[in-house]
Amino acid sequence: MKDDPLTLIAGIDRTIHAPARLSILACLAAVKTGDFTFLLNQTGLTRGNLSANLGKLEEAGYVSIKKEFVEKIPRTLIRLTAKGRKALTAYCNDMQFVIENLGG
Amino acid sequence: MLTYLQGNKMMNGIEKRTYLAWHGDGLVDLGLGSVVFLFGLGMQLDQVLIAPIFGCLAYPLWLIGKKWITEKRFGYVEFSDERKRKEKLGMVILLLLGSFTFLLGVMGYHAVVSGGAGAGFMKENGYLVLGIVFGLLSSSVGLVLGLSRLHVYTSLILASVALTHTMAWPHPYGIIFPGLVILVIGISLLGQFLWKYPVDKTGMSEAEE
Repeated sequence: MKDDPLTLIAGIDRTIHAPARLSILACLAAVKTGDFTFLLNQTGLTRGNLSANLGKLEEAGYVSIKKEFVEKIPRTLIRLTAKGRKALTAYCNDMQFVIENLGG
Repeated sequence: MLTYLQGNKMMNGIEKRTYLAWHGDGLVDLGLGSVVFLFGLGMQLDQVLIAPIFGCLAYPLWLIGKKWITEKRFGYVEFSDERKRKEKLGMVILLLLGSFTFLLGVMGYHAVVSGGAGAGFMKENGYLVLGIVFGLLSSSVGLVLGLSRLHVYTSLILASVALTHTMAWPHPYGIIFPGLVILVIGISLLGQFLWKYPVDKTGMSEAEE
């Protein structure tokens, strides 16, 4: 399967492939953890969009979401899970392979 | 198979960009500028204790600013362990440099008051030494935080004290001027930061998620 870039494209992880979710994962891969406001600023997504995409990533087990209170103020901490990191790495490797082999 | 991600230039780029944005609030510049400016002003007004007192307060004030300005607007972020290790090492270097500066100040003051061997040298070149120390301080903070603009401040401080020394202008101005420039840059950066990251007045960012 790895030999054929076109077959590989069909098998690309669609959870990660969406630009919004890819930017969320890329942001989280670069830091240890970040809150909702941080991701909002970094990705440029709207609250609703970010919230919906985080839900999908959590459902896939790619991010973990923890809610906590800091001085009575709610804070949502989001972290990339080991599964999410592995999936993102695999996605990057696959995309690199596709680009290298389709680029001619 | 984590090698690609760990060594990935793009990820390093995102991490660096995030880190620089986190320090794009101008608080470092405001702290450094205030210490340098107040030092020069203190010398001019013969109130030498102003700057050291502020110097001691600078770090706690910076932490408060980070929590109430940066974190509130930019969001909470925890950087990698490697970045934290670098910052800790930097803090140790700064502490050592601060202690060295303090000792140097005491020795210089003692030499001038007692009229000892170094008195003449300190009277003639004290501000040059001070400029070099402030330059070292600025560059150290720049190296620790990875902020290249702080190396520009070092050049500015050194050029200013050297020019003041050469032109025989009143020495405190050689310190006051770069301090003022750094302060203005800090205020400008803070203004840009506040504009770019407004406070979430709706309070919905957490609740909605």
